[in-house]
Amino acid sequence: MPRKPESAPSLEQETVEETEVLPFQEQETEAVKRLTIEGIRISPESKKTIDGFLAADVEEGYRRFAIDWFDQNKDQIQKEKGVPIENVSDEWKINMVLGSKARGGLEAAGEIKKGEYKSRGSLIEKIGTLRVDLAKEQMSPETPFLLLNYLQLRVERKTRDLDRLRERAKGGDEDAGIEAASMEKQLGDLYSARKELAERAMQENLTEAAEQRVFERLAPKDVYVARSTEKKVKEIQEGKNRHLMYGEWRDFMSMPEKQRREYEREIGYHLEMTREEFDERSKDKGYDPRQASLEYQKENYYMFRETILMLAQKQGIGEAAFYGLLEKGYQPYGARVEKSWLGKEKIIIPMPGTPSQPRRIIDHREMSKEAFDSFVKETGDSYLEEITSQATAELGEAWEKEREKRVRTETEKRLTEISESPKFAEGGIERLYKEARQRIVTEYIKRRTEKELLERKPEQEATDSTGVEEKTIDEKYLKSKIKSSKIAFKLGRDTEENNKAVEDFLGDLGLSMPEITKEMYEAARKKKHWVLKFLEETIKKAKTMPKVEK
Amino acid sequence: MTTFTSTKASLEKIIKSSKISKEQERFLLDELPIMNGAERAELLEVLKNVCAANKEEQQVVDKVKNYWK
Repeated sequence: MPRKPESAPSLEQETVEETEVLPFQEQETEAVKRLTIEGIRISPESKKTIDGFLAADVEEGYRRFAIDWFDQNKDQIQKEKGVPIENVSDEWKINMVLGSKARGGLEAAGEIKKGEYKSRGSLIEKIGTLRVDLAKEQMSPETPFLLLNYLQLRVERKTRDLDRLRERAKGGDEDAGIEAASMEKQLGDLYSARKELAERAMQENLTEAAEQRVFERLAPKDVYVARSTEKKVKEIQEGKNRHLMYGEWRDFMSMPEKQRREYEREIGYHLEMTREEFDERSKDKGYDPRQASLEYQKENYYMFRETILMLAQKQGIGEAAFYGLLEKGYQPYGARVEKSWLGKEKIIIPMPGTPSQPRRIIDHREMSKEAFDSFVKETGDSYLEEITSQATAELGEAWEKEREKRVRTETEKRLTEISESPKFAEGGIERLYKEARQRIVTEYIKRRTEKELLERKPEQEATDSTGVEEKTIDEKYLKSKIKSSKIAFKLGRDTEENNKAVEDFLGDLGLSMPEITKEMYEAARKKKHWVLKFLEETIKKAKTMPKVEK
Repeated sequence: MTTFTSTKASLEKIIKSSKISKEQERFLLDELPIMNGAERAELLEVLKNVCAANKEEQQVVDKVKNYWK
C-alpha cells in the first residue's frame, strides 16, 4: 500500500497527481520565467568597438541599397522629380533615396524589406537585433556566438583590404599608408574586443591556454640561449671587428700620402701597396679600369688589416685584445718596447688624435711589461665579455619576441575556431546551461537540507565532563549543514564511495570512522530525512571511538 | 493511490531525463521515495525550471546554427 501523504491537503495532492509527464503543456513552459543563466558581460570599450563595426555595416548596407535601388528606379524617379538625374554622384543618389520628403528625398528606406532587397533588409534587421542585445548590461547566451561568427567574416574581409592598402603604400601611395595605419588600429581594437567576448562566452582564458601550448613546444629560454650563444657571439664579434678595422683603415687612408709614408717609416712597415705594384701583380687578370680600382682598394685593405694584426701579435696582443684596444682608442699595432735611461723596459701604446686631426701620436701610455700583459689580457677579456652579454641579451629578446608571436598566433587560431565552428558555440552554450541546471538543483537541495535541520529537534546528551565537547561538536555539526548537502551528493549507491564521503566528513570533525556496511546504508535509506539521521547516528558511534589525530 | 505511484514514477522519469549531474540525480532519486505530496510538488516545480532551461538551451543552439542563414 503506498504511503499516505502526511500533511498535504487534497487539493495539493490533486495538483501533483494531475500534472503531466514530459512534455509539459505549452502554457506551463510559457509561464515559467526565461531562465537565466548568468548573462555574459564585456567591458564598455569592447561593446563600443563591436557596436562601431556593426553600425558601420548597417550604414553601408543602407547606402549600397540606396544606390542600387536608385539605379533600378531612375526612370520613375526622373518622372516624379522632374529633374535630370544622369551622371549624379552616389552621395546624391543616397540622399535622394533615404532623405526625408520634407527635404526633397523619397524616404524609401523601407523598400529594403521588399522583393529582391529582402535578404539585405533581413541582414540589417538581424544586425540591429544583436546591437540591441549588445547594449544590455548582460547579453543573451546566443548573442556572443552570433557576434563572433559575424565579426570573423568581417575581419577576414578587412584583413584583405588592409593587405591591398599596404601594397599600395609600399608603392609610394601615402594616402593608402595613412588609411592602412588607421585600419590596423581598428583591427587591433576589434581583436581585443573579440577576444574578450570569446573568453567570457567560453569561460576560457585564451592567452593562458595559448601560452601553455607554446610552452609545450618552444625550447625554454635558457636552453635556447645556451644553444645559440656561440654562434651569436661569433656573428657579433665578426661584425664589430670588421667595423673597427674598417674605421682604422679609413682613418689611415684619410691622411695625405706624405703623412702615410711618414707613419709607415715610424712603425717600420708598409701598410699599403702602390698602384704600380698592384697593376704589375694583376696585369694577367684582365681587369677593366673600374674593376682594377675596386680590386686595388680591396687589396690595400687586406694588406693593411693583415699587417697591423701581425704587428700587434708581435707584442703579444691577441685578436680579442687587439680589437678591444682599438675600441678604447689605442693603436695596438704601434705598441713598442722602449728602454728608460735606467735601462728599464717599458711598453708604449700610442693613442692617436681625433679623426679630424692629422694622424699623429699625441698621447700614449707607458707601462711595465707585467702591467702591459695584464692590461692587454683584461682588455681582451672585457671585449669578449661585452660581446657575450650583448649576444645573451639579443638572444633573450629574440626568444621573447618569438614566444609573443607564437602566443598571438595560437590565440588567434583559437579565436577563429570558436568564431567559425558551430561545434564550439554549442559547447559553450552547453556549459552555460549545465551550470544553470546545477545551480537550480543545488539551491533546492540546500533548501531541503536546511529545512530538515530546522524541523529536527536536537537531542540533548547527558552532560558530564564531555559537556563542552558535545556543544562543540553540535555547533560544528550545525555549521557543517551546508556540507551535508554536498555529502548528500556523494552518498550514492556504491558502498566504498559512501564510506569515503562519510570518512572525510567525520575526519573534519576530528572523529574516527566506525564500520558501516552496505546493509546499514540500505536500512537508513528507508527512513525519512535519511541522510541527516544517518549522519547523526554515525557521529554518535564515532564519538565512542578514539579520536583521529589531525 | 495509484496516481501517487505513477507521480513518483513520473518524477523519476523526469529526473533521469533532466540532464542534471549524476550526483544530483542520485540524491533526488534517493529522496523521492520518502517525500510527501507537498515535497513532490515542490520538486516538480524545480524540475519544471530545469526542463525549461533544457528547452531554452536547445532554442539557443538552434538559433546560433540558423541565425545567419
